[in-house]
Amino acid sequence: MKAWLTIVFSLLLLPAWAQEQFDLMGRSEHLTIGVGITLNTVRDQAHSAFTYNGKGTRFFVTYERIRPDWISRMSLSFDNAKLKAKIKPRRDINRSASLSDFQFSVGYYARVGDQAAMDNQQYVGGSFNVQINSRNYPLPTNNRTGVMLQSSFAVGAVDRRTIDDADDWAFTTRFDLPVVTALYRPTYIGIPPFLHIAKVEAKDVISNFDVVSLGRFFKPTFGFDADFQRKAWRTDRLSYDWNLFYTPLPETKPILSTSGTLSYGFRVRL
Amino acid sequence: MRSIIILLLGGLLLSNCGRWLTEKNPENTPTVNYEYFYKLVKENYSFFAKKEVKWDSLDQVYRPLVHDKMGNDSLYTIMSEMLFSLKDGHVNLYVNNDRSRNADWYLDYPANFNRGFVNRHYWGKDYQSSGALLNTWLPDSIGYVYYGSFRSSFSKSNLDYVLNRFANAKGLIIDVRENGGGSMRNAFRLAERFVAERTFMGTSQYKIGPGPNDFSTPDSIFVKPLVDYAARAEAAEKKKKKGKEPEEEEKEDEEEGEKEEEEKAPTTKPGKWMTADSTGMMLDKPVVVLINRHSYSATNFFSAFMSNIPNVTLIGDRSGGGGGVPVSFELPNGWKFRISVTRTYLPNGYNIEEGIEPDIYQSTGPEEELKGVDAIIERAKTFILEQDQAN
Repeated sequence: MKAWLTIVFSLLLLPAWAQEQFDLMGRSEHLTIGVGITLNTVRDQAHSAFTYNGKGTRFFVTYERIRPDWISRMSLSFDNAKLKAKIKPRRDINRSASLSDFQFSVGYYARVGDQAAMDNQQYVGGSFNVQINSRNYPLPTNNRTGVMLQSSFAVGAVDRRTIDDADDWAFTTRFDLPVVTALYRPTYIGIPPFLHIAKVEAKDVISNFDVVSLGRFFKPTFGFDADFQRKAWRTDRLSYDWNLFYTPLPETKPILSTSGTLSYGFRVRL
Repeated sequence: MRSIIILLLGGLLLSNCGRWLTEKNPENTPTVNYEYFYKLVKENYSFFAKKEVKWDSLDQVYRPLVHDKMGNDSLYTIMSEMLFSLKDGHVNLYVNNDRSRNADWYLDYPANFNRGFVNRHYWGKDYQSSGALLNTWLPDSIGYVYYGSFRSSFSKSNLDYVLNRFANAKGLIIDVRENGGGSMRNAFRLAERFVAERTFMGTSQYKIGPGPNDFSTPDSIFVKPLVDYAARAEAAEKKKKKGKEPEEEEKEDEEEGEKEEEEKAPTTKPGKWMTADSTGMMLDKPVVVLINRHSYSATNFFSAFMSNIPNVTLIGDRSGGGGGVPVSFELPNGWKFRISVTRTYLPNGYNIEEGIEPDIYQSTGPEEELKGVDAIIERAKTFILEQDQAN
């Protein structure tokens, strides 16, 4: 497994310099900048009977602080994708929908389990998340755009361990699940209540949020990071992130959306 | 290592489960398409009660005609006929080479507008085009603006220019006949030049649920003046008083009283219509809006707004309606359709879907054209001159 991952990182055209021996699992701070490819699936019944699928790109920045007793993590990502619906037989121009997704997350996780173990660490905690998700569908008039804004408090867990007991390889598994969410998903876009307001201000949007729990907004998020430390100050990260979000609101117009992203992150030690 | 492999396989599985979690796309059969169509219209259309259309009764008539061996043309015919019954210009079914419509709301009525005739006899050859606002002088110092489509926009400076151009006019005619609508924002941007203060224009609701009475709580519609002179004057006054001692304030109050008759700066009150203020407002002249049956949708909203302003008079025929804002949906076969999902009421409770009644009914047609006049424009001119003489 280690050999396979080494090949992957070698293909990234970065020189494999002599590695300093450094404890990747120990106390540290890192900034990661990365890019990835996303696979998206959306079924938004407010706009279409179809499931739309497509590929896109993700850009992200992550800041992590790792301590023996806790981990904090702040992450910012932006996705952009083109989606198409398979219609058989085709009865219309094969136009695409587009998706944009912005997510911000800040989390804190406290160490649990065997606190002395350095090669196998588990953390439990929570995070605060903000997401703005919009989709544009090939429709003739208003309601072309679907928008979802949410901010939530989530519970989560992190598992960090070495790969094959090597101290320059680490594998992290992340999981988050929002439990309380302020959700805004307008019934229609392009019509009142904003239509007759000359300037839409923040308070116009904020007043329309609903506070919901798991039954009305479900968004489990999984993340897997494989880190290879090339130098004391630099790590290459290969990540896979997957999330699903589902909400039945507004009534009779549920949305189910999934996103899987394989990405590379350039991680520097601060 | 085993756990890593398991986790990576899990990742691969997850990347595909999006397709598994979402239901398969619905079958593309006429019956499935009809079911989606029937349900979406039933749950989202806002005017069943107003138009006295029983959608379930139509379903009982047409559903038996739908079967999976029927062709696209037949299915399109059935859906189009059902939508036609809604008598709504905001309702259309879009297919590859056609779009269903109901245009009876203007085709069944006199046109009351002949663009070619108006161009030759009123616009002439030297009218100006300020953005989408065609403007020219009419005899007797009357300003005239023709706005053909709310889809076409105008800049702030375009409208400033037009209103400043007619600064010394006896009145202004805004002709929105044959304006089938467009952007609601343009309706607000035009109306805001004619209100002196934040003015309540009506309420609007939209469907929020599948039931026939599932509407949002009414939202109030206001048009705020682009330049709120009263608020400006008040703010200027407050600012002035803030920085003064009480004795100084008393002295100034006395001096102000002496200056009451003097003209103040144009930025604090409109006074007479002046060109000095580049932010054009027109608050103290008679304004006439010309409408006909093809004044629809955003034009209908604009007419509704203007009907609430004291110095504005509507002349012509009842506007076409279109008080519901349309939204679109997609069917399993890729066809798309749009339907009205909102309803709007004037302050007096009148539903503007039926159109806005003019203050003065006036028609025009070939008979009047033979005499070389557009009777609606002539009536508007006469009205303005009467108002000017009365003042």
